[in-house]
Amino acid sequence: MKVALIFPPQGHFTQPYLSLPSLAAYLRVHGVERVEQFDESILAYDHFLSRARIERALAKVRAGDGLDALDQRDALRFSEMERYQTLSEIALLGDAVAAHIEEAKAVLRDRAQFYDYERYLWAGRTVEQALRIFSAEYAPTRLTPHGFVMRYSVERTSEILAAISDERENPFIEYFREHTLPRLKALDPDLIGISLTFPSQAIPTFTLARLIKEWKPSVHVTVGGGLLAYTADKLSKRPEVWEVIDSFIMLEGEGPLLRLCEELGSSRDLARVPNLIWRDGRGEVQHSEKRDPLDIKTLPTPDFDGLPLDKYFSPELVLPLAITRGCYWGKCVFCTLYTVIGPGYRGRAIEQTVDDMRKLTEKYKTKHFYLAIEDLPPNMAARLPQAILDAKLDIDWWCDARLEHEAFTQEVCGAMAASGCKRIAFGYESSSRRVLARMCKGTDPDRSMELVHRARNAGLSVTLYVMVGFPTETREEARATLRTILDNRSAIQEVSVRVFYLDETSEIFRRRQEFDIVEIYPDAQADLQVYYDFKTGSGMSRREARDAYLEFTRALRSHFPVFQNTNMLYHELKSHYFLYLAKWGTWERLVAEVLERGERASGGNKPRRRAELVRRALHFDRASIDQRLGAIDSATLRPRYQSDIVEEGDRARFDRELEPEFRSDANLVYDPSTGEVQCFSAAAALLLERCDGTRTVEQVVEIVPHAVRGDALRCVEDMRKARLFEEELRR
Amino acid sequence: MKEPRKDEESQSPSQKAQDATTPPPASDPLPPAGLKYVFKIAKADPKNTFDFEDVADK
Repeated sequence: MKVALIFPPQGHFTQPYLSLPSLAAYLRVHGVERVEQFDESILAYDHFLSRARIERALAKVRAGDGLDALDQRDALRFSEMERYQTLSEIALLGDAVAAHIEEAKAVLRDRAQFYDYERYLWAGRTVEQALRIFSAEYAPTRLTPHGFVMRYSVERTSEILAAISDERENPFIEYFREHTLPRLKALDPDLIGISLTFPSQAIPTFTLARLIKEWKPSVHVTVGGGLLAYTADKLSKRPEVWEVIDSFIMLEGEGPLLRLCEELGSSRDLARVPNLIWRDGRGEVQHSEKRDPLDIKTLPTPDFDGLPLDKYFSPELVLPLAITRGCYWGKCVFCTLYTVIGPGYRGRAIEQTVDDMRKLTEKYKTKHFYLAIEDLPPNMAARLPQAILDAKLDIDWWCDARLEHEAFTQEVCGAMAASGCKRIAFGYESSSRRVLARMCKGTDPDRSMELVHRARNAGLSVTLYVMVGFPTETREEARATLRTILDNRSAIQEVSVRVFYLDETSEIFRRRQEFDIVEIYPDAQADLQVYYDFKTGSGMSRREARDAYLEFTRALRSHFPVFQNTNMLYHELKSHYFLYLAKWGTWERLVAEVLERGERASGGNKPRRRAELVRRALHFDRASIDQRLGAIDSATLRPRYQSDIVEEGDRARFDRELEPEFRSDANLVYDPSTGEVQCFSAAAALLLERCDGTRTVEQVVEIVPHAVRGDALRCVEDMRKARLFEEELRR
Repeated sequence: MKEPRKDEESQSPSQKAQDATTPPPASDPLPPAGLKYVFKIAKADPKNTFDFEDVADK
């Protein structure tokens, strides 16, 4: 039996996920002849972000109606503004990004360069820009470091199936055909397992399954993973789905997948495979017996062999490790994870965990671990750090935890820090006792904040998860949460904020009347709908909740060092910020030596604009366009769940109703050293032009009338702050 | 590198439009006719390059 396990695009590109290594380890330990794992997500990113591929995208985009044509217009409508935004960026920096994209990837993978913050930021920006260029070839499709969206909704089977044959907008058809299929053909597997965890993987999963079936109809394609807990029953009712997929494995995959291997190799009686949905020879959908997941104490150490470990966009491996599965609390009414993982909470023995860490450290030459768990249980918080210290493991790690005031004493927090814990992420959600009680969170906000300070005092970097828009939450309650966080920001490094979504598998959905949810809005076309827009009788409306969320994000960007340069955050969640913490040892050192390092003086008395700056004159003000398009979010009435692509109907309405953008000369300036792009008004561009090293600042501004010279001087100062003048910049 | 805070960016006094009242010195070439004396620099911000919620999802 030859098995191919596939992690399809799109997942995060900074580290491997745990699903395939867990399954591969289990199958290999149980004697399956050959098991290979393919992270097609990182391999696709690596391919798309190559010089040749970006150059091809540039050629295709430039072959269409270009920037010059738009620049001839008197005014731009909404959809033209979107295109202008893309084309002006491509005109400015497309060639430079193509020429340096390989270098940017190399920086992210290189230990010396990655920790040089300026180099890191340049590389991060270059990757972002390259992904925008790549996406433009498939517009309106968008591939970013954090997502993959098409205009097709992943809440509708019919649209997913339409997407999988749309060669113009789906970049994965060609990629899978030319890159993934040859790899699979070389193995010629009998069973292919695809791990479908995120909505961003839905269209790629079906795209790949279709191509596999066209190549080899006899191979058994099974799909497992977290997303199926929400959607498999619904998918199974659609006959078209069974043309490309043979079975779905529900919940944890180890046991059922091994049993499936055994059955496919012998009697092919799929009814004997637990937790399976399949279609029998008569075309009837069958559900096999549901069985509890395996005791995780019986599972082997994850096996990362065969994954392209040198391809991830990080200089050091951060390996995920699950020391528990499920949530020991399991009561929060908004959460669904405790119902779709397991079911039931299970922990691995402390000794096994330490043994796993030792094995993985030695085998993969890394000391970095992300404990991929829902929350660190009190008993493990008390014992794991000492066990790591006793075993003399030199590691760094981070995980999520509940705000257990009694469990995470100062002593426990200290031991965690001593054992290498660099970061802990707590579910704080709200500062309102009323809201927390309604959530069944089981925490007290004052005691929680006390614990946050304890963790910080111990040297841990603290992340808080916050939710806005929980049914009945008022704007005042949300603002009080924000105020509390800002008041305590000396003890908080990051805040991960999100809007509450009503998920049909959650407890709150079942008891929604108790939460004053007076109406829900099912989408009749969305046969895979999981989230529902809704209306409450009290508290914030959905629109107000989104506004509160935007208020949060603005405040976070203003007050938290880690958010002030968003490129750090672009890539950090899985590992980059954690690696930076590990490198500098403490948050304080990271701030002092990296995030808030003093600015070097630039420019001198006679400022000279840097020779490498690339400038492009435009007939429309890009800053205004950026601002207007950015504001569309809160003006859009549709709930934003899986995609922020503006739908055709809305686009047509915006084209009709929005005030057009009128001509106004401006400049775009690209700094190839930092990767930054600045929008200049025409007058500001004139000043930049005059900063050629021959004039003092006063002489630079002499060209403008006296009445505005104060503004002009401040503008030159802004250029200095933006480091557009000659200085000792490194590249 | 520390970047300016967003709220500071939005309050930049150089963004105000001003009336031109005094002619520039004779030694320098005149600015282009019709130039608006709006001195504005802003970081390009392509739509939806980043959203906290996207990050939280994975």
